[in-house]
Amino acid sequence: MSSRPLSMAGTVRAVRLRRPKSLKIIAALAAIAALTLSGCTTSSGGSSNSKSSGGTFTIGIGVALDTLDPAQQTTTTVQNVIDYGLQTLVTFDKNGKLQPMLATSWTTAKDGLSLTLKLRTGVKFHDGTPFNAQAVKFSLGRLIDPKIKVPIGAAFQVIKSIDAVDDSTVRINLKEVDPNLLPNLGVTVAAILSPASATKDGNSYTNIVHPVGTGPYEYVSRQEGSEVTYQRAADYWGDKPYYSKVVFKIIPEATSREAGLRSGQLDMIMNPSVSDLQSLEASGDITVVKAPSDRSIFIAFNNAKAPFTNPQVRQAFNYAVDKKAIIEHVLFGAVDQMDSPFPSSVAGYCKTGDYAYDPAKAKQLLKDSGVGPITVTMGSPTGRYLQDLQVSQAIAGYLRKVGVKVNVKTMDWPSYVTAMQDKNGPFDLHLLGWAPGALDAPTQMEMFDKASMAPAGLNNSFYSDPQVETMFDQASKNLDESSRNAQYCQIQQKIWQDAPWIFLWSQTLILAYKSNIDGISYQPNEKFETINAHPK
Amino acid sequence: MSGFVTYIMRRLIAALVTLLGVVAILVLLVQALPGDPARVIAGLQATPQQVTRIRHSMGLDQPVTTQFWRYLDHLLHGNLGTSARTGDPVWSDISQRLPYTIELAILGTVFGVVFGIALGVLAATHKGRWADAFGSMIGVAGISMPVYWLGILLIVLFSVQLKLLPIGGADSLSSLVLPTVTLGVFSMAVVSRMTRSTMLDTLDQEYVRSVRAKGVAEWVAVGHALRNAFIPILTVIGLQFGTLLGGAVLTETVFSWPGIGQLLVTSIQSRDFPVVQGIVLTFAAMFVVVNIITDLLYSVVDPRVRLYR
Repeated sequence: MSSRPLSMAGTVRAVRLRRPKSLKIIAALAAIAALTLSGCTTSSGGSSNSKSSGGTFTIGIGVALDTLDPAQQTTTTVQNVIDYGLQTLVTFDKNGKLQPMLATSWTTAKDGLSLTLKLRTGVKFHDGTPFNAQAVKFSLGRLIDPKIKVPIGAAFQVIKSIDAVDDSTVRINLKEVDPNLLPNLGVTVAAILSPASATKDGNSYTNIVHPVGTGPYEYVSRQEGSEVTYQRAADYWGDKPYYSKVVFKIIPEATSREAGLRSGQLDMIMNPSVSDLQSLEASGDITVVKAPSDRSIFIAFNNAKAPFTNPQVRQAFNYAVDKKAIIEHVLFGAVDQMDSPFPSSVAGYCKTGDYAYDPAKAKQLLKDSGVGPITVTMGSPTGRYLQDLQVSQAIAGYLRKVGVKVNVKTMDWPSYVTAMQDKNGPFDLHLLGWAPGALDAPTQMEMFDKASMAPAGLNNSFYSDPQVETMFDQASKNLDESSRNAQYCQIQQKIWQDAPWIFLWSQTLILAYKSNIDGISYQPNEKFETINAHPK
Repeated sequence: MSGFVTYIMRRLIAALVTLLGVVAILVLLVQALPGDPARVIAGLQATPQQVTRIRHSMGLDQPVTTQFWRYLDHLLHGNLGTSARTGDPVWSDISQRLPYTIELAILGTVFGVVFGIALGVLAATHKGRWADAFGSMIGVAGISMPVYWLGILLIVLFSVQLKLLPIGGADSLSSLVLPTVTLGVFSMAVVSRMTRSTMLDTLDQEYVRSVRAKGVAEWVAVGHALRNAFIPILTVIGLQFGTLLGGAVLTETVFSWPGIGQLLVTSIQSRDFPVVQGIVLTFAAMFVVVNIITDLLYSVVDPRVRLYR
């Protein structure tokens, strides 16, 4: 959740200003003066539009990169940047289905206590050393070594040991049965590094600053707070990318990113302001893609606190909010409405229902619950998720229509985190986002599991249901995919009925790029891919 | 000269006391802020044990006075602590980015001073005429426009519409132009207004009238007046440097300029206290140094000014 901040600040609509003629003249004169001052250099920030294979593909991202060490990162955007140079054993396709990458096949032992993977052969790291089982053992070994800080490495703690059976076979021994490890091997945390590189170019075993992997691009340099540069890898084992260079420009301000795209200095940007989407789409030479993501956005009730101990009240709140109208008018259509406690890209998802807007039913349910007049405090972050505070205010408006008095309270993120994790804290309900990066059910279930209640985990709704917990316990150890999915479906139906949240929507990753470029794709875990990008 | 040395010593001691006060405030600030910094740094998925470990490693479980002395002790050994976000020494993070901010601040100041004085002199020498009105208009606009908004407008104009300059980054000399102008406009406005009013005063002085009576060219008379008008202008320039550092935080964000202003924003957002403390201390030290230099320049501009007895 917090692991993937979205900078949505800055919705200044300056880009739509028209310039009067006189201003144009002044501007031109000033620009000439400015160029003279600058020694007549021209911008090198732009990308080459050369038609032959080659040129630079420049991407504007909003997040400052704190590290390039796959084990130590905590942010999807950082993962996205690392993914250009490093690869994982498995990966996800556009629909979130697991696909081979550096591993070509895998089998789970009958007792479920080991996972054996066959590795791709003939693959070399960018430093020329061979990719093999030893490299996998080295890279995954870092994740379970207490000497290394792995902030989002909880899923790997189930690993007991790693055996390099032969050069192209690796066996991962587990402490307990865990079908969830495999999808987690597709997350950047588990990317495979060249062991030989770990002592070169400023790298150390505990801290990688110059990642050397097997990806289509080779890491070149990083200018702190400004940009990261990759060049096409000479000996890449797969299809070679079109662009010879990829540059990630760090541009925290959304409006500046949009300006970069409109001016042609950037080829693609992440997350422009949603309020500008229509104008970007209307510009004709920019394509906007809203890629489905695994991030659910919801209002968590404090299920441990009256009146939200009563499921009728929680259901009433779900009926009271017109999600469709909010999506259309506040979010400019940039999200997908939830129809299950799981986003559709998460393994085991099944559609469970719809709390269609019905204020009369909401009023009736509130009356039946017998709780009397309700006044609540609703927490909302500002600038964390798409239009978060605006959304909270809209929801408060709908709740007022059914007779609930709502005070919306916002605070900075660190304070917010503390407040929402406190059972007796200031919020009766609060807005939050959650994304299981490995697109796995158990991580989504952390939101509904007693064992993950705050402060131990992030079940901040303090929802607990013995039936759900028993079913989850069985499902999480079930190695048979179809019966496991059936179990998860039952769980989702029960949770939907219990309504521990106001189920809102799953967010999208918004990409905007030059319309004359083709081949840009995405994964449903807020990641984009331009490896196959090329001019039309 | 010994008086001068004593003066310098006195100023340096005063500067040290100021910085000591800044350190005290910085240590207290971490205590006063809401939210648990250790929890935020550890990440939401961290176990309570990890949070406790981070709290301990940052010394946040110690009494405030201990934290203060510890910070000072480390500072005297040239150690500003370790970044909670990157794990790098804070000074290494700051020193990588400080040159960018200094470059921008100096260029912004030069822009503000050169154009500010030019506009101010123009307005004073053409009092009540169009040039005066134009100068005043620029002055009011420069003071009123938020740095943030101005930066975006300049990007829209010069990068999106005219496609002349980069939207940001620090790749080439041309990427300096827009941030410099954005940052310098406020200083320019303040300096031009100050120059105008002090020039109007001095242009009225008898010695200027005498110079004019001798029949010299007008620019010579203005030159005489300007030199005498310079002291209050110098004061404004010194003070403006502080405003400029604040403006750098916004300018660097809008123009993706990799200076310590941008680092400050990132560090505040991630509650990376050691870095925030380091940057605020660096800003304070820069401000103090610039003010000492400004004071010393008084005696250069006007030899009658004696800063010491």
